[in-house]
Amino acid sequence: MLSYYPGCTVRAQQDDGFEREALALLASLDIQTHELEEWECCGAVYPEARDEYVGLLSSVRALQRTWDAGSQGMLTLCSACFHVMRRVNHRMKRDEEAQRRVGGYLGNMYQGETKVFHLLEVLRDLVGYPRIQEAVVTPLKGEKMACYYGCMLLRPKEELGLVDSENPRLMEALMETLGATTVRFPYQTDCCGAYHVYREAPLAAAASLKVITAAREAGATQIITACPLCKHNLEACQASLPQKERLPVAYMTAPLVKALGGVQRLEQMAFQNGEKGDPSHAFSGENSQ
Amino acid sequence: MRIGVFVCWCGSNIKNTVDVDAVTARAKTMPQVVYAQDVQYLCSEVGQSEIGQAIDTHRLDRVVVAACSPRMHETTFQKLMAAKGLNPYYVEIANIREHCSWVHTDKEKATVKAIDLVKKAVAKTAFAIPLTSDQLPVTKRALVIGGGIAGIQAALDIADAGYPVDLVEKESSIGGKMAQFDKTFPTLDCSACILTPKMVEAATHENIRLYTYAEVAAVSGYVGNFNVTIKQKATSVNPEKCNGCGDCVTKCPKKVPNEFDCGSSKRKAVYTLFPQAVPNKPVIDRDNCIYFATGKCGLCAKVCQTGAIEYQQQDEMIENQYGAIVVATGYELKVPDHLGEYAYGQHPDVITSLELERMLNASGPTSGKVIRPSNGKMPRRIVFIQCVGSRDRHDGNPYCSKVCCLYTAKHTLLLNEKFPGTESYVFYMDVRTAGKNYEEFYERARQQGAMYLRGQVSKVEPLGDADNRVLVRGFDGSLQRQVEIAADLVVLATSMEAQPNAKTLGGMLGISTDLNGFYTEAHAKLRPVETQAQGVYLAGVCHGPKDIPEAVSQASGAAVKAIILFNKGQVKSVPTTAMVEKDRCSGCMQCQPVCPYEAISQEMVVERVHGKERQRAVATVNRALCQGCGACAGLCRSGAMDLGGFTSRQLMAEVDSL
Repeated sequence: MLSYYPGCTVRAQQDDGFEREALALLASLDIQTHELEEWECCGAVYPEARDEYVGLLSSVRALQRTWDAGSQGMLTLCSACFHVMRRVNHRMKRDEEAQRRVGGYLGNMYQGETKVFHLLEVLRDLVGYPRIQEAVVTPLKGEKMACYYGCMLLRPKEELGLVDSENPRLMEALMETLGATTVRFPYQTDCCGAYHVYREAPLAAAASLKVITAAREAGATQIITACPLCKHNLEACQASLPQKERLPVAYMTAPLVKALGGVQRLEQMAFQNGEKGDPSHAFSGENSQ
Repeated sequence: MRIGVFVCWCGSNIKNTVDVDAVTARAKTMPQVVYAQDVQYLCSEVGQSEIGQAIDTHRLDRVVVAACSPRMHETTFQKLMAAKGLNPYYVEIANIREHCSWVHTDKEKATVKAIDLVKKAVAKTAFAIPLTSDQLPVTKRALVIGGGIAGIQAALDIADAGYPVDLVEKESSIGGKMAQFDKTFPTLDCSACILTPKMVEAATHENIRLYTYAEVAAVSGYVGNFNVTIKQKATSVNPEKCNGCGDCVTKCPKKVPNEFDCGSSKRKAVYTLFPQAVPNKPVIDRDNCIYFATGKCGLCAKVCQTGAIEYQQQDEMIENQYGAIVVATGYELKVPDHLGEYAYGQHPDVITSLELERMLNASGPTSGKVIRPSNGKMPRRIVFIQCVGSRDRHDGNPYCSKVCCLYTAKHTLLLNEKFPGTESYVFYMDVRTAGKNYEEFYERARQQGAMYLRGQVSKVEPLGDADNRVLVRGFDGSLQRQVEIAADLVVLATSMEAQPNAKTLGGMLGISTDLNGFYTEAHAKLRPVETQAQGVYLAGVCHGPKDIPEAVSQASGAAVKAIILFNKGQVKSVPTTAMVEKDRCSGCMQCQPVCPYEAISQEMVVERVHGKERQRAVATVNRALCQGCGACAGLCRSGAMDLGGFTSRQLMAEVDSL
């Protein structure tokens, strides 16, 4: 069982289907998830200041709760949540001063015991591509996927260690499992412009548009990402383009769910799985509603 | 006993940090010291004569010199002692420079420490025993390990001086890396044209014996008398019978990647390394041969008209004696696939400089044409990236590989000459052209159109366009701007690295490797070809990155060192050898297995006990073999083993004096 940490953006934007799709997908593949109780924002940005510990508190609290719940680890969907949780955890494992200070405040002695997973990692390591391949009902023929990673999933590689940060082939491998072809294109691991979109919109738009243009020139029919902010920027930068020049942007769950028969089918399968055991409220998101 | 103490100022080196007057005054009060004096430079002629006079005037029989490290001037003072008719080991050095003045700033405390160091030396010298050394004969035959240009040059020089040389090379041909090159900077000489005559000369020289396809397996002994075991790998081809026709190679059905072309072409399982190979006889690569894997095939034996194929051949161990060893084992190039940002191994058109060099070479995989590996077409725009894995503390080697700046300039020139219209861009950190005519060569490359951009490349990415080009993204420091170049071919100047087995071989030879795996010279400035092991000399890149002229110069230097040794014909044995006090020795022989020089053996002594004669086994040391490491003395339980110059009694006296 994994403790599911939704994070603010994924929950606030739940209408876009990322959360529903991801949880239905996992449930249909027999991965049990349980939403973490009383979760709070991860902080959204990893606190780089070495002498400031407040920024670590909410993340450590969530990590400690995951540990207390006795689950296999923490599941994150959003790249930024994954980034922050994994790095905080990495620091808590090594930094004795942080252990002491954070522990003193929270009244615990957390030393980075929890494992933090990103959805992609769960699909790769806990489910496995052969299993996913078996579950495919409509192979994604004819789709040319551009897989865009951005920053948060990859760097710093010493702390995240999810995948080769210079030449990541994680989403590609997943998409190829579904029968899709993938394209290689530049800027795959570049920044989308991130939070600049709020203060320096043209700057963020330029950064994102570079990614979109490169992907389209490489022949992509759609671009996928695992990050809500990347998705937002990649979409926003295309707003002024004529409809036919736009490149569809989707979460990486969308093609997965499509190939596996659609979200309703998956939810039904998950429900039947649940009948057998303890029905989890996997895709209800009820805790913080 | 009359001990004299001499305290050196070493100009200001010691005097500024240590109160030499106080040390001298204090020395006068030490036991058995009859005379003490401070001198500005003890190593100078004036200083030497001061000591000499004092020995005469005060009838000194022991001398303590408080000065620099014994590594610097011990022999100077030992010679002076000998000239005065005293045993050279009656001088003791208190190192108050490296061990004191250079590492301390507090003068008061440093002076106290210097006094202690002198006190120790005085106590030790009081128990000094006279030591002598013997003259040992030298085997006048040299071993050169590695048959690249450095090894070949060293072998030729020693052989020309009239001494026999054995040249051991692990590949099936001599020639080394230089044989892979097309042209050489800064003259654009054809590499093979200048190398092959030397290879042939080495092969035909009456004083040189080649062991190709062979490796050094074990080394024992010491300067003048090394015993070396050479493992001659089975070539499976009888060189006496083989006439080099090449029929076996033509008929061999098994193809494997050709290492000589960096894997960009195929060779057969029976092969000669390259067309001008010396010796030009094929070998069977048993790891890839079908016959050796399955027992079937045997085509090469069938087509061989002289019956030279011998599958039953075995590896052979050859034992030889040598007086001197030249190590010229060269280097490997780093495979840059750990630096993901350069996409090496991710895109076929990202290659290393050596791969480009092989393409430029007329006998290379493309017969001298430069092509894009992805589609076989000629590249129009080429980006060169310098310092790939060099000068990179984070993800590579901290040192500069030294030759990349120049060979990249060479590549741009060659491309411009052979394929006009090729655009060459070079991303560099610094261009280092220290060498005769090198700066001019680099200038020429720039004038002929190579575009140099000062800055590092952050990313090389497949562009995914119709031409399958590669996007090189970097920073141009001169423009202070990010730049992007869509290239047809990217060439990485990868780092030169020590041989992966350098440490193992170094261990056998008793020489050390530095942090980067290169062999360490005896002195960074003044003994650059010698090693800590006497009689073992260094040549070429095994000692650190070098270009061809430098490697050749060092090889000649190493050769001369060996020749000097052979001309002398004798070596002085180490005087500070181990000694056994036979009365105390219990004969347990624990000392025997720890001796790295096999200098300890057992002998029988006859004793009279209660009027009866009886025989007893004790250890004995062969002084010619003992190198004075002291392992036996440290281990001896009964305290019977002692090391000359460092006897237990002397060491205890030192400790007791403090």
